Amino acid sequence: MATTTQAPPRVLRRPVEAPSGLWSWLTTVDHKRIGVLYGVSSFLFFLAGGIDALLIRLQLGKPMNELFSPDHYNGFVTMHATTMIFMALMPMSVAFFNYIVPLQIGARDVAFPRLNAFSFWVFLLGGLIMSSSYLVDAIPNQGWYGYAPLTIREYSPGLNVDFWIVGLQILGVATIAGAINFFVTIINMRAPGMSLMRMPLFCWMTLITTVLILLAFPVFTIALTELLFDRHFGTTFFDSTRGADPLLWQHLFWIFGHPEVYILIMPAFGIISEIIPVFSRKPLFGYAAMVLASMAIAFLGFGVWAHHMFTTGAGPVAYTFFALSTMLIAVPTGVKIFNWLGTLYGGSINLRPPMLFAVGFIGTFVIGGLSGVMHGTVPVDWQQSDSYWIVAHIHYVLFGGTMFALFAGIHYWWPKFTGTMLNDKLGQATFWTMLVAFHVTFFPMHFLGTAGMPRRMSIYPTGTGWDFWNLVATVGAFALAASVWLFVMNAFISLRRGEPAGNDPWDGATLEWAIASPPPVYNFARIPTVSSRDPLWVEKRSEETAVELGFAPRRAVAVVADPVEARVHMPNPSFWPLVAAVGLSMIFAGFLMPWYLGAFPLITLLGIPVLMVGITSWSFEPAG
Amino acid sequence: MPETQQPAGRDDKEPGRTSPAGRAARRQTAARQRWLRLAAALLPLIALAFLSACANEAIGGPSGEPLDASTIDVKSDWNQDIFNLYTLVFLLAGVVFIIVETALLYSVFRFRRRPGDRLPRQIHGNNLVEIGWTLAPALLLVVVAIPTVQLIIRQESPPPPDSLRVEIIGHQFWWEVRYPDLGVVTANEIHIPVGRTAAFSLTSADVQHAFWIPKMGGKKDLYPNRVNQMHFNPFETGVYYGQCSELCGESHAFMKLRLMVDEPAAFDRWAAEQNVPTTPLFDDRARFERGQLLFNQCVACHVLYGHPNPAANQPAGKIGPNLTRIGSRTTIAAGWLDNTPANLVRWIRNPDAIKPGNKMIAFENLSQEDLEALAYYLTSQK
Repeated sequence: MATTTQAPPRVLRRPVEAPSGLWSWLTTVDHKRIGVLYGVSSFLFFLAGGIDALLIRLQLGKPMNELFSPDHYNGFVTMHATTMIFMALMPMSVAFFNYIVPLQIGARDVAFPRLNAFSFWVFLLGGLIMSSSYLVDAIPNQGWYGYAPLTIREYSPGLNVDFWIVGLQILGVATIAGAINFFVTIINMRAPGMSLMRMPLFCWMTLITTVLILLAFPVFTIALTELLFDRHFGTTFFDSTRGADPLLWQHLFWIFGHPEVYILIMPAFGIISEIIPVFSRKPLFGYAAMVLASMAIAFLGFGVWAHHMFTTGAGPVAYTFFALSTMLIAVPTGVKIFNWLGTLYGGSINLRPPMLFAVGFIGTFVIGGLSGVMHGTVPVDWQQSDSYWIVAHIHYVLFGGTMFALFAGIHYWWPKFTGTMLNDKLGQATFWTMLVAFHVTFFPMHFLGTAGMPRRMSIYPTGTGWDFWNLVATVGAFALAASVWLFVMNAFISLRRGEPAGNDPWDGATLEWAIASPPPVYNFARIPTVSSRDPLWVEKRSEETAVELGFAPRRAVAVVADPVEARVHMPNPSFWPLVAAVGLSMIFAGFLMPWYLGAFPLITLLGIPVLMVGITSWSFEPAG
Repeated sequence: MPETQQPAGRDDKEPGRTSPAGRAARRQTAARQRWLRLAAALLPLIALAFLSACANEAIGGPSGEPLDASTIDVKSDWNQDIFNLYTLVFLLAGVVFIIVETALLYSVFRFRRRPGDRLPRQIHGNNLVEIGWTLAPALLLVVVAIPTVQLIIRQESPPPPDSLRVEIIGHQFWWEVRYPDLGVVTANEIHIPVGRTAAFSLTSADVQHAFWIPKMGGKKDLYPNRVNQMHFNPFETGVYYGQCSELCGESHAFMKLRLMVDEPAAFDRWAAEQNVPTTPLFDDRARFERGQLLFNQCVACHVLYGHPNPAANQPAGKIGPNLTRIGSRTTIAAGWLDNTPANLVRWIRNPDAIKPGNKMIAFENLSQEDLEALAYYLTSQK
């Protein structure tokens, strides 16, 4: 490629060769390394959440099963959802934002590299603090949505709910900081010529996701703070024993919680929109329609929250409004699916593993979308709400949707991350096992919901007629675990002795495939100039045509002389984001200490100077 | 259907499976093969169908009666409305599903890359097509939206004036049932007459619960400091199984309820009995009196009309369920255990072992004999 044939440029104050060792990882501000850290940690949390899921399925495998106590079962249910949503799926999307977005927009790093490191450390510490609830047997057990008044001290006196509040508060800081970072990166750091409407769809989805996060997460932060104050300082935001309205929490939670669903699915849409054109050798059908549809989904996503509340007695006006807005949001979602089909149609489709996952995503997500429309029809939802229908629906959307797309993304960009290929045969085996096991696990849940089985039941009696499909779902869940294991094996084999990938193993269309795999620290020796969508395709194909016809090739990824020849400015590694993250976590973790030993104020008060020192030193550290 | 791994009742509605045992085995096998092919093609519909059938055959559960609770086994006007809309939406969704999946599979197989493929035509989109596939789903959704809104309005309208008023109060982890017009208070087993609308007021004494009897219709949440309304008219007598369907704490899964839809005369008789002090039925007077004496330990939390201690007749400040005529109930512990003397003994000795986190205190200090006497006394309250 034109951009990589240059001599490696000199990097200011930072070695061109990536440094190694533990210290280099603790102090890294390189978006690619932070992406790897995010990816590995979120995958480990994904395995932890998966173990929760297997424990749940073990308990439900037969009626009257008393393998786990109701309290522990409620804990597994709560932590499975919390872990998967906040510690696995979202950060795994953030891993892709980190690694891929700067490469796709032709940047050398994100806008705020140290804030990026801070986000990661805060996320990791928040996740570890939340998970440490298992060690002290205080697993959050009130449901991942934490409905007040069950969460007030009167009804949940233990540390369980405090672990949940504190963990989510810390994770929320990481998410909001990350969203600011990627918003600014995409707005400010695109390569010359990359107008918004030339941006790869994945970057568009990232941009929209960050807007959703910035508008939705603060609501949740405030709600959690109020709940924390109710539990520790005697306020009465949600204390129904002192007159609070129990619906307040639900409104606050779902006005965050529904956009959260789109926060989880938008990056998936982006990944699929990258993969399908490449493996069909055809540009994305209806690019502008895709962008507009996503904006419409994001906008409408803030007007549908009460469809989680159709059984609350909100009244006919609210029911009607939210039923119609929910149906309306199905229209742009349909547009996206039709455009993917339009891209496939007439293409030259190569079913390598990333494409298999992408096609599997469409086929599965459609089912989740349609069952979502069913819930939007309020009277039908009166029956389906809080039943296994909903469990089926959310897993079709979040596993069949988001997780399939993330696996598609992992298989697609793995060569770029590591420089080696994943094994195709093992990738196919992973896909087919996962597809079949997924449907065996979750399709029967539609039947269970129809048969009247409510969610979050730690035990069910014999004679309900639910036994058979519960057993099927349990068998399916273990097969699903096996498919994840196949992927883990594939990953290890690839790292040890995978085939070298080269720069561009898939005939990619976007800028990340123009540079080495894995990319050098500075990404692009020269910042490319972009003159079209699918810039790399335009360049490669015009080269081919040019050779055939004897013309000079048209360059989409044209080389522009850097203003200061051969001087690439990269940020310094820094230890201070980690210090600040530790300080922040200490401030919150104090709430988990027994206050009667004086540990609560002590740890919280100690955290404040640590955070101050971290931020101050970070601010005054020379930038390089 | 205790431990079988076949969903019970499939035979009900699948012709060819109910064949008498005498039929030729070969013909049966052929029929089964044909059935399997059909099942593979129409799996979701078939599965839903046999689940609905499942409703009538399941047996077992703590009290041996059916515990099935199929949402599509329609037993009330409300659920009939829901079911009709469900069928419409399900069929439309099924059509969309088939169209999209066919288009997906067709594209993937038809346009699979073959050796020597040239670069396909580079199409960037088509505005007319975009408008088409924006409008078509929108129109389809209008078809769904109209009956949805109609039904919301119908169900949210006030019930007919002659409805039977029932107040349900959710507690961790049991249901208090009040009939304000009849002066009756009971727990966990709700009696209503067939063919007359029952209008429920729902509230909670502590956390959020949700009231759900699937064969009667949807669910509705119970909140402290709020009162919700719902109503339905059952059109078949029987015992209907229900369950709290909002996580309400540790023993949420044990918070069951039963709806007894009675003939009007039987309902009136039942309601009248609840207000008359019980005439206990017993053979063993000494044991009965021992139990009666022991029950004085229970009156701080429970009402029992007819118990000699006046405190037992004071409803104010009682945090436990009303036990009047408990001997005539089929279950105890909010529908979790059969109402047998042995279960009463188990329950009173250590309720926490059965339903962790419930508010009843354990009576492990009582001897087995005392506990049996107490159970005897309670069982006599018919």
